[in-house]
Amino acid sequence: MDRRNFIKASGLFMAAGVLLPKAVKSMSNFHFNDGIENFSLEVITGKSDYAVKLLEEFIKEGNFGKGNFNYSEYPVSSNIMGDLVFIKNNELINYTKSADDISLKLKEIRNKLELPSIITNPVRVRLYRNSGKEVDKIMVAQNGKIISRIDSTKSNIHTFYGKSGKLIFEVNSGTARVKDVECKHKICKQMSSIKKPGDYITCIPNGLQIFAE
Amino acid sequence: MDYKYSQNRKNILFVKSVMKTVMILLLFITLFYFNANAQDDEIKFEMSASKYLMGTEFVITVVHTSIDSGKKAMYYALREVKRIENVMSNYRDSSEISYVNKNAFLKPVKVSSELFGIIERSISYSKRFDGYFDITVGPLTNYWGFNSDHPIQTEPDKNKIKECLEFVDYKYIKLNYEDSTISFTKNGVGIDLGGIAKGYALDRAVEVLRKRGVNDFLINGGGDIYASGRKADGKKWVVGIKDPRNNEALLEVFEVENTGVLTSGDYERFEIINGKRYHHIFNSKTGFPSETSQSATVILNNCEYGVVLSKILFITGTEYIKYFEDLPYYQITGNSEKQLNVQMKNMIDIRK
Repeated sequence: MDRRNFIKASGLFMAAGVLLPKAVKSMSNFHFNDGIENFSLEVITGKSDYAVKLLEEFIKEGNFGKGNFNYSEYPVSSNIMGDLVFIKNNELINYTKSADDISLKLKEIRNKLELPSIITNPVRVRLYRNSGKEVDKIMVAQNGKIISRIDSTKSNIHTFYGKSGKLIFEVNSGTARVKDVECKHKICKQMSSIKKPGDYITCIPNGLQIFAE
Repeated sequence: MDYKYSQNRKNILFVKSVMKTVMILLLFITLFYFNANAQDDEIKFEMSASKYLMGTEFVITVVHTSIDSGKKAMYYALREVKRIENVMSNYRDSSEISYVNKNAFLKPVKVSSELFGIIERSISYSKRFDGYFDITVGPLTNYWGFNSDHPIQTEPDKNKIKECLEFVDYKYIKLNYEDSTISFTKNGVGIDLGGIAKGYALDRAVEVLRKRGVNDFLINGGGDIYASGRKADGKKWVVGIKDPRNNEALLEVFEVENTGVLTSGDYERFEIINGKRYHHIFNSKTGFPSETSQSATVILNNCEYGVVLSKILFITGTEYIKYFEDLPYYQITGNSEKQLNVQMKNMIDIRK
């Protein structure tokens, strides 16, 4: 190899090193151009494993900028309408009536999961990312199944019942806590209040889990 | 002329070999750069799973590039804790330890190597700490009832506690290494592994997660924590020390990586009877809840030994400090005073 060919070849290697990762990334099917503070993709489905696979592919194929995603999965007890819901920056996106790349992809996932449809005891699968700001929804699950969604922006008192009796739950200025509970240890009453994504309170005797999302 | 030609040829060969080396180096640099870029852009998912096990809530949070792999790893880790509960819980009639407690005075009971091992280690801890850690507290824990969810509701009966104490001594356990059997030398002795099994279960859950390729996770077993690797954002896990008298407040927060944070506190299970707090961490010499501390935390990679040390710190204060003076520890005494060593102070200061 002469000097000219050497320089040419090494230049190509260098260029490949710098540009290839970016090129691979730009080959992604779709991307958000605007900044996303909060993002939530939620599916109520009877095919949770398949839904996880499709959502994971969607996230990995897309260009969602830096940052990671939280994943949660809960069974829901009842006959309810299953569907795919997309929320971006706290705004519900009507992807069914749009024709952009993301909407098309979401419609494809929705079709593959045969949604919307009435499902008996479905699973709620959710992928989300948020800015760490205080949440506006508190979820209540009993024995692993979601029984209530509470708007944490509205101050109120909520009562739930379980094996050990009553649990009184207070929501005040975006913060939620157990005010009182009818059981011996009252461990959940001692747990800190919840307000940020990922915070949770567990009441073991009543099988209740209260978490901020 | 011949000499010059041969010298030129040598030079060309030398330049060529240098070029080849440089090319190979560039190739490696390129591949490294590509790989580093790929890792930077790798999307990670953070997910949690929880289950009521060993009388408390076990919560596992995992950070992984695959949701399916993360979920499976959490499932197997929680299943491992469940398996240990089925072996070591004396609140399960079908557990191996319940069988030992019912029969070990009547005849030597052959046990699994796992149960034999944890009882053997417990006895060695008992010897090291002069019986302040003792797994024969079974009759005492039954009397107080904190672990069985039926805690005492009236003033404790000193005579009954004295009766219970007659059966509390690790020396009543005989281990036969030849045939892996356990026997009791006194009728009425009962083993309660509640003071150590949770730490062992944490160690096992850590091993299961790592064997399944998960290295970034946090396990919280009712306040005893193991933090491995990093959070999804690449930062270290942050844990706190609770104010034992104000459940809304944290006294300290600090970062941890690849270690356990083991805590014994009088705020976990307690009853207030006639204005006096009775809790679930007993001094095995007096039979009464220890009043030396409100909470005691030890930071150690080995959770099994860590939970033992946190109890020793809780019950005896710094009497056995020679066994943990090199480890970060944090004690809130019965008088609400903070006692911590320089290692712990450094961890807290870094955070500040």
